[in-house]
Amino acid sequence: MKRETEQVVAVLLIIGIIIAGTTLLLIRYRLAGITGFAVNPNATVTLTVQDTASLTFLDSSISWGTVAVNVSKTNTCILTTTPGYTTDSCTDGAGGSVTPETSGLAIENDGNTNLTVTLISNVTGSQFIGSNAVFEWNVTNIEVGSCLNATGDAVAPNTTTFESVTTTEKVICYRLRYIDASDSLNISINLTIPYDAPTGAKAAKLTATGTTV
Amino acid sequence: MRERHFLTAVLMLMLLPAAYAVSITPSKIDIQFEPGYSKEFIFRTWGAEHIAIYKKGDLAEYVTLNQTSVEGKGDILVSIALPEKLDAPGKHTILIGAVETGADQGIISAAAAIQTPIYVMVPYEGYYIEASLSTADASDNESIPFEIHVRNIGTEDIKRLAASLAISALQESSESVRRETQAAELPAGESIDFHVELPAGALGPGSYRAVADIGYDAYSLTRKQEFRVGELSVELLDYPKMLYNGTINKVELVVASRWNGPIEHAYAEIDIGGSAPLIQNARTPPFSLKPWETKSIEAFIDTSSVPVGTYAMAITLYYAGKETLVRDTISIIEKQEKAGILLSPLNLALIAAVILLIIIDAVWMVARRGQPKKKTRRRR
Repeated sequence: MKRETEQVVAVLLIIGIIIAGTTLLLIRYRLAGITGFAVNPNATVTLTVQDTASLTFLDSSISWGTVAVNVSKTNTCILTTTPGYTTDSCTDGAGGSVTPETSGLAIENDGNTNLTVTLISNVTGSQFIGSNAVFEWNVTNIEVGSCLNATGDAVAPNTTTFESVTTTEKVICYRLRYIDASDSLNISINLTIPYDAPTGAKAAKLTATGTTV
Repeated sequence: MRERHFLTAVLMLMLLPAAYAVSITPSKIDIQFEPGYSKEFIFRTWGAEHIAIYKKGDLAEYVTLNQTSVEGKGDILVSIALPEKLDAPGKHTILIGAVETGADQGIISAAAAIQTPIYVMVPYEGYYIEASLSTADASDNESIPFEIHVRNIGTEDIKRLAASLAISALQESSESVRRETQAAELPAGESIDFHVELPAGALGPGSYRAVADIGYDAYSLTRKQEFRVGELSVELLDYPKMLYNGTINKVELVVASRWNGPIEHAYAEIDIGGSAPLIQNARTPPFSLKPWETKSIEAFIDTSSVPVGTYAMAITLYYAGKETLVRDTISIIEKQEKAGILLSPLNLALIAAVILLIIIDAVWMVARRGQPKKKTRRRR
């Protein structure tokens, strides 16, 4: 019986992998659309490509799980995504360590028009964690030359060193390009939790907005 | 037990969220204001499971959306009804946006939003134009394109519009070349482009400034732009002045292209010794240069058989059938000077500290071995 159960689970696992892989492909390449073929080999096909503005979060969440501050180490727990590390004063609340998040939030311009990109947080560091908390972001090119300045020259995005998040819109890239080889940005996070931070579930939301240039 | 953990790990990978996008079309709309302007546009949005639609901008009050949320994908009817008069002239922006909504994931979650700007140009009273001058770098065997774009954003029609383009070298004040466009009329709300082409050979290699004087009826406006005329040439900006003897030296050459196109398969050769060469044809790997690119190239020079001294050096760059030759002198010095760094007081102190710690640890281990072991009782 146990052997049969294992076989059933193995088959379901294979089916699940196929479904998940197909779903990812459909979403990535947007295959839900129009197809057609020319019956008459001499027919003329007319196609109008419309400008489309589109912004994608390739990686849209960061989660360190349960985090507690080990006050016997230092008074603060520091979590960053670039490089992905946690200080040894960060614990999972059960004596273990916190798994580092090595990647930030990745955004991509997958339309066919350049975008001005702004970033806004719904909370400041003190609203997110508590007083003396630090909540910072840092925006960098994933692909070289993804971000251009207002006059069209390739530049590093506006915030290449960590700075405090803002609850008002901040321009992080004047022109995020749409060409495939240079169209993506990485948003890294630096979070410092003081030992006296109020306990409880915490959540913050960053919204990236792209506007056609 | 190991299999269960494996299955669990794989299932968790399957449950990771897919990428989310928000898309909208059209991506931009331009409107020339007219009293009582009224029009409907269909916007299409898709990408996320739940999408909220919104409007923003100083003229958003004149915009109506037929719906403010879309599930998956959908069309939104955007109705614009402008008043008879808008007091503030110039460009106004209305934004039609789509933002993904829904359950947030993780401690820090992210949402994408996309906006289409609707630009409403309200004419200035009387005569007013917007103008721009654009050009591009060129090689000395190409034509340089100039484009003067003019838009009449005033309330008056322009009876005569013409531009005069003057080119001068950046370091000089005198004019090199001048070109005049034909005159044209430009009604209120309309645009026109003037195209001028100039053979780069008429200017020669160098950096230049173009100044467009745009005359429209009794008024004028000036626009400027800089550009470069390139030549097929690679300059050697920096090279080594000193090498250590009796070893293989890694050196860097800094080269800069003065060409407005790519240069492939370039390389450099280094000769040391002059008429009695000691080192011949020390060659870099092939390299390529993008238009106007400055780059560092590595080379390795073996001075095993070269005595200490100062010698004549020749560095030759080879590219696209041409050469650039630079002659200078280079000093070969004793390598022992560099070894001094290893014997600095700080390094010696650190090495001594490490050895001391090893000795202390070894003594402690030996001492522990000599102590009798404690007997432990077993419970029955």
